[in-house]
Amino acid sequence: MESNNPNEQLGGVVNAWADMQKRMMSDWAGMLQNLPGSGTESTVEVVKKGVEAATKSSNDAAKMLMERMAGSQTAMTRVMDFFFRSMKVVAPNLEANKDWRPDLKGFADNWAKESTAMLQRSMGMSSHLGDLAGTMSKDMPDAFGPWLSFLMQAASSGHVGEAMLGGTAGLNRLLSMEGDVGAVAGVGQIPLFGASREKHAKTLRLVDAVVDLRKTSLAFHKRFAEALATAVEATVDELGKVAAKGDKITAVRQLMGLWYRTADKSLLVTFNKQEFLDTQNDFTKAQHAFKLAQRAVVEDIFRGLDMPTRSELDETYQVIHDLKREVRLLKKSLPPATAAAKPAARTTAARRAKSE
Amino acid sequence: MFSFPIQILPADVAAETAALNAKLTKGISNLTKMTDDDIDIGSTPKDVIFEQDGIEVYHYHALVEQAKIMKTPLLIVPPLINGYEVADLQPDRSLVRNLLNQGIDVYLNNWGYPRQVDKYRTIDDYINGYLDDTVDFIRQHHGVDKIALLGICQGGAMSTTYAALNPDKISHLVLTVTPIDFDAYKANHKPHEGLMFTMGAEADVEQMVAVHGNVPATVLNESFMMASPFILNYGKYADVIDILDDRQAVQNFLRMEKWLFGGPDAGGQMFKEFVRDFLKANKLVKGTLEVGGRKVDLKNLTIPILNIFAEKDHIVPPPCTVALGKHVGSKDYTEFAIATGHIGIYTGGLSQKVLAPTVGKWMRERNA
Repeated sequence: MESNNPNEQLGGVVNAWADMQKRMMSDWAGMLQNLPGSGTESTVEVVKKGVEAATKSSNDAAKMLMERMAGSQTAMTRVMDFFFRSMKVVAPNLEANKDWRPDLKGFADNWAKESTAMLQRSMGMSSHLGDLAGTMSKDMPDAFGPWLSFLMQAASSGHVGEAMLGGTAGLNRLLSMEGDVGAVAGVGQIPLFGASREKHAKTLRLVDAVVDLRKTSLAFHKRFAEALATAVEATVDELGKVAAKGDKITAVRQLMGLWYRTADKSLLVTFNKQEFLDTQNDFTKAQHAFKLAQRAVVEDIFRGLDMPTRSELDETYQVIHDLKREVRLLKKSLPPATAAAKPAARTTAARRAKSE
Repeated sequence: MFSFPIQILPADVAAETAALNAKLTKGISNLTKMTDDDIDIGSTPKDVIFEQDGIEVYHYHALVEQAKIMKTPLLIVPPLINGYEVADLQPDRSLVRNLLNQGIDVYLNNWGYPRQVDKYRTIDDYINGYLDDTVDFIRQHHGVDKIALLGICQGGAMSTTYAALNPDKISHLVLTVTPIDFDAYKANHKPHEGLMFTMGAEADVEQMVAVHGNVPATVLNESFMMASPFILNYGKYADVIDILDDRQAVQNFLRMEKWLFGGPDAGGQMFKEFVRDFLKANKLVKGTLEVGGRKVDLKNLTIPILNIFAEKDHIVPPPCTVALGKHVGSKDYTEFAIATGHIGIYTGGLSQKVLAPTVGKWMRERNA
């Protein structure tokens, strides 16, 4: 039965949405659970593994689509949850025909605070060092593992820079580590931390980069939360237009469509604003600065092991590029008769394109 | 009083979910059976006639009898930052095929996938090196002095630059959704237009290239998707459920996905120079662009030019394309609009009927 009370309607829709998500996931899982690769994990895991198994022998694009569809279920749920939560906030004043915008602003501010607090928790120093360790150890011999674990341990109680330079608990760990068992003592000496001011500076730059990354990330997420609140505001206006026409929204996907279309339009306006561009650029620059600082530290380790660094490879690539260019120019400068012979030979050697 | 329009009843949700699941069941069965051969892109028959440093030149097999083929060959120049297959996505959505059916002898430069070792390639390498070598090869292969160029998006900017530097080698210039004046959209700015240019102008490309070497295709894709984040990231995949039980529709969808997400990384140095000189400094229209020490003067373009743009193009807004008319020296300059978007101009249904026939007619009228 239809209801004109927005609170009741939204309560029903939220429940229906949750129910729909549950059914969809459960049906996906049902369809996929008998395939090889699925086990006794959670529904989401079953779907994930089922998709993997189901598309094992199929085309990459089909595989990617399955993954995106399964993945978008979770992402869509998050996006729709935000929408429903914000709609519930504005509903009472809508019902009372009062200005609902202050409520929405308050909700968006709270949401931004919640999400940034969550980010702050997840972006603590040790987490970043964990990421650093993960990234570094992914491409490096297992021998680095202990040294990186040690670095994480040394920094876990505070600022990694302090651990490297000051008389802190971190430094104590560092010193005790240097004198520790043979299995890791040699590894600990490889980067020669503590021996060079230059290396200290690189580590400190990395720490600064992490701090900047955290700050700019939080600013970006706050800005994005504001953008989403503006999008909700635009969607409420759109719902008003739907109501004014006497139309109704009777399906979840219809509502999703309206929210996506309106939000996209609204976000585009925000994305073009200078303050958003500035915040986004600060975040991107901080990400890049972090990567560059990280590389500087990693390259020191590589040099210590007589392994080629990215910078050295780049120098080689530059030389290869310059040589190729010279060869091309030399070929062009050959007399026409000789130059003409070359392409003809290639035509003879022409092969069918792969796609045929 | 505001009459709340959301009237979703639990029974409706149950029915909706059941319908979706029926489609999903059939769709998953379709998807799991699809192989690479089912999702082929760039499939029009062709020979590789020239290769250099991983860059291949294709010569497509004629689709009309020899007597109907125009004497001037046409080289398609795709962008460096997208796969060439946008011009040949599938048999019934293929610019290449449609041009062949017009009696045009079609070549295409496939720039390939730059590796880290290729990251120092410059715009000069691409234009005065690889593109010039390709043009010379085709001229020699065909025994003609001049050939026609057809540029796709960024490939159009490169074709324009090349033609201005080499008026003795190019007879006709066809441009499609080509950015020429990167500031032109700002005069009457609409939020949905030119976001890529706006973001690009703000970006620290030097730093981006220092980090990545070649700028990953995923980074570029994310920028493209910011023009419609919810629909392109979620809505599209929710909507695809509706066509999952239609094998052919799914194949078409997957071909587009394969092209979208299978593109090349952008060569680092090239990208840096393109953003710096073309996008940020807008040197092409300011007359200050130099490539390989040679000044690019658009007034040197005195050949016939056909400039085709998409009316709904939000990536390269039409004002950025049609600005070319003010700068060229050609007295035979034609603009043609198609009511579609940036990608739709190659893959859309309307374009299949309009784009190649327009090019064919225009070339025939100019003795190509």
